[in-house]
Amino acid sequence: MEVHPDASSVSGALEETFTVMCIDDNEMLIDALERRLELEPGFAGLYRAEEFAAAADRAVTVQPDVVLLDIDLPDGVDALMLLRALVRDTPTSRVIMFTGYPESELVTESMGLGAWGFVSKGVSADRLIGAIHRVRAGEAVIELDD
Amino acid sequence: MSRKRISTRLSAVDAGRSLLEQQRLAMIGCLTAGLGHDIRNAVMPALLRADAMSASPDLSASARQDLDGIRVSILSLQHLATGLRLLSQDGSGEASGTHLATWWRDAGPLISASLGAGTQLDVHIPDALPLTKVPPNLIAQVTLAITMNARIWMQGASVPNVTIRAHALPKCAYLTVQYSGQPTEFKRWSPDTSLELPGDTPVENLSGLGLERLREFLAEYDGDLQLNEMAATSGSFTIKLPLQENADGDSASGQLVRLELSDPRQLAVARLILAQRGLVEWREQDADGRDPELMVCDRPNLAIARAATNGERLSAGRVIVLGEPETAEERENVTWVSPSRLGTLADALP
Repeated sequence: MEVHPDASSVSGALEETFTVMCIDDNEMLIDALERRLELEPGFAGLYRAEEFAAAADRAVTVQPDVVLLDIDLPDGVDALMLLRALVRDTPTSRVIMFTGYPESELVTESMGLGAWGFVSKGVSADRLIGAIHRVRAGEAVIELDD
Repeated sequence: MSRKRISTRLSAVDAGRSLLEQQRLAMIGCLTAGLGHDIRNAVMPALLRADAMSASPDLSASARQDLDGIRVSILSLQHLATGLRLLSQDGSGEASGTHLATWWRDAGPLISASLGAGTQLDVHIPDALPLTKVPPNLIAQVTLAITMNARIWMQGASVPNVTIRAHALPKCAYLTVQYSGQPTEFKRWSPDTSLELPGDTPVENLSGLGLERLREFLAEYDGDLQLNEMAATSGSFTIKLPLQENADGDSASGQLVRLELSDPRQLAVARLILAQRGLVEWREQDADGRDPELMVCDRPNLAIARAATNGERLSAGRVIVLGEPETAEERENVTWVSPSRLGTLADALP
């Protein structure tokens, strides 16, 4: 596991612009996330994955600061394989696993593979947005259910 | 048709009915899991939108109040989804211990719903109880079976009341479900049949909720389900939940563990596992002079562990290192856990 240098503080990270890529088949969620992120200082855009199987290539192109990766993807796409590819091909992007079914084993496995965060879809919007900022700042985040 | 043939046919009909009932329950369980997932996928966008709306400076005070109310409603749906997810988990659940207060936070909305709005529910589950080794989904299923039975039993009661209490002794925690009321017309209630399997007894007899089978599952964790009393106007069950133990047979809850990990991801996972095991992270400023009983470190911080061991602030053999040993000497008095298999850290902890 490669260790990224820690940012000096969350506030330091907030002064810079940032982009987020959301790999999820829930369009309603992505639209709402984009709307909510637009309120955050420094937010410079949200990227979507049109084809999940090619999401890692898309990340290489757009180089997002944070990737939100849903574990339960359609079309037989293995999210953990995708995580491996993201960690390998875009090491500067920090991946947060995002799921409706948070399980401890999945947390340890994905963090062991290089994810920087694990967030349940059962948390409040504040905690999700906070997790994005904390991961940007170099903190590893595990946010399970409220 | 002979008496024997009639009896055989009736048995076959009963078996078919029982199978149908089991199938129906299995389908409900499967749909419950999907429903919990779908609710979460709908709730998160609603919460994000509500957050975005509340940031608008143009929002009037009354609209803001409405929005707050909507947010509370959405959150209650969120909690319900959490309960459905908990109930839909199959098998033995996760190996980590169950914190009863957290369990209630997740399962409480479902259990409350099982009693109906007219029932007074009092819950006393202290936050400081040690972890039990019985998985939360099984505790939820047992408790729900009792409360669903209670609801039927209390039909017509003018003051239906259910109290759920938890307490712990050195080896076990106990969850007691007590229900009482003043039914206008008592229905026959047999403590014996309450433990029968679903479909085995008519619902009018307020039984057949399968408590006996649940008792068998509890027994796999050395737990038990006891019927304490069954009087005309009240009933009480106690679920015995053995505490999580370490290899010595003692409860590991509350042991202090020092974490010296440079990688924030490893640190976050280690903290999660500690919390699940009921272990407490040692921090010098909060330790009140107590030394940690165990240290988890990575290779760069191994020197800190060695110094603590040499200075007798930490017993030999109480160090876990995330890394790969390079020499046989490095293996002495130290447990190594591969960083690529972070989950196995839980197995190395008490």
